[in-house]
Amino acid sequence: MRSRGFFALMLVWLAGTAMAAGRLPDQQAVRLLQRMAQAPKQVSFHGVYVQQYGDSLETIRVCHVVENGLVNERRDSLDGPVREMVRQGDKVSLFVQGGGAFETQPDGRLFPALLPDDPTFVLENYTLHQAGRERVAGHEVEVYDLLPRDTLRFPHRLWMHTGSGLLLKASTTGYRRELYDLFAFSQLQLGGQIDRGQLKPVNPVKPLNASRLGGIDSLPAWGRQDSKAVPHGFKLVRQVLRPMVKRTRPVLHQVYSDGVVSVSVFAEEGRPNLPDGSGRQGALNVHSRQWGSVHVTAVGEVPHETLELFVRTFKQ
Amino acid sequence: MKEKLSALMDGELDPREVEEVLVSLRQDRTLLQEWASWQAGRDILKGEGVAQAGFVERFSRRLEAEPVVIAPRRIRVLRRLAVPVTVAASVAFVGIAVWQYYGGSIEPVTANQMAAETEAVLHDYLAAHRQSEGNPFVERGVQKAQFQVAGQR
Repeated sequence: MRSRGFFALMLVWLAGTAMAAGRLPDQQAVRLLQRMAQAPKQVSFHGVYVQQYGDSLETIRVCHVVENGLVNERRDSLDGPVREMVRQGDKVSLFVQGGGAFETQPDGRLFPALLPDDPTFVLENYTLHQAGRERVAGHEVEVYDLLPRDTLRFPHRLWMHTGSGLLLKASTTGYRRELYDLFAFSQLQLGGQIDRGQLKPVNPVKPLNASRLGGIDSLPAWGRQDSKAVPHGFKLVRQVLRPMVKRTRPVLHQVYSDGVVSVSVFAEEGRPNLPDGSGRQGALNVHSRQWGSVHVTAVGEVPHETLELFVRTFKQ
Repeated sequence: MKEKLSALMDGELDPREVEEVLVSLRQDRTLLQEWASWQAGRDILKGEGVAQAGFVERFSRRLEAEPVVIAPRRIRVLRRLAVPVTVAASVAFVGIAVWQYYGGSIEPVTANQMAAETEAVLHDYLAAHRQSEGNPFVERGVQKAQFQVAGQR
């Protein structure tokens, strides 16, 4: 019996050391994540990247010029419906073929600017590990694993350009490293002379205002929530009451973040035509449940169990 | 014996029978050749490189050199590992079963079968989530997503 216990202990210890291999001390991890977050504000580049969510793939062209600390950028989709986005500092203009409403968010993050300015919160939920060197789009990169400290979130892998700190590739995987979501440059010119003509919009882009939906401080009377039950490591970023089609009453929309991914929780009074259940595409999970007269749906790139916990916070 | 060999190749052989097959492989050269050709066939099908010539000879030499006593121990280790895996699998299965049954009837549907309005509601949620992330370059709705319904009350 004793030898069995010892064997089990050895297994646990071995698994522990294997997981911790290459783990960077927090100070070094903070510096590296800061470097990745700051690079898009300092480096000009022009290239094409793919964005893969589950089995849906899109190719996007980006021209990104930094001048006097101001970011000028143009992105357009190369497949699917035509979409074009032009950004000058905080001013964002958009063209979407066939129309469609879109809001911008001050904290919206587009590849390769995926990380927050302050990575300390990220490191409360993840640890950073060295995972070697590779080449992406012809550039030398350092590979890092952002591994979750618990099972409430998925692992991520980051490919950082050695010279500039820019992310050239980023993925979200399952616990057995199965690929869910991926962003990756397939062609990239870093620095040097970038044709500023590439910044001019080709389509009639329209300026967007930052979200008109004002945040609310307190929940509506019907929406009782046990905020202490919110899954560990997620912070409420904002909550708004948003109108939604075919609804007579606005829907409460809460956005939570763990520093890397975000979760949306929608709660509404009544019974929308969505049965209890769950869905999934790549890392994106959806979970829906009716609690008495309140319907709650959580959406996010986190494991299904995490969404169940979020939905449960509204249990009436 | 050939059925067992086939099961071993598919990883479906009962761990208790692995030893028996390994002993047979060690004694029966024809069986060993058969095993090698099956492996080669499978490798070709999977588009992987075929084992180099002389692999069978080297493999059988090493198999003969292997002390017999080692093998059962290995299997015990294998079995020990296999038990937690089986437990995990049944837990997962129970999890799914419970989840499907909660609330009453089971009605798994794909987006294609889903009522248009249900799909619209789901699409709205996904779109609002995407907007909150600030990425307009997302065209995925629920067309490819599977939505498992747990039953309405």
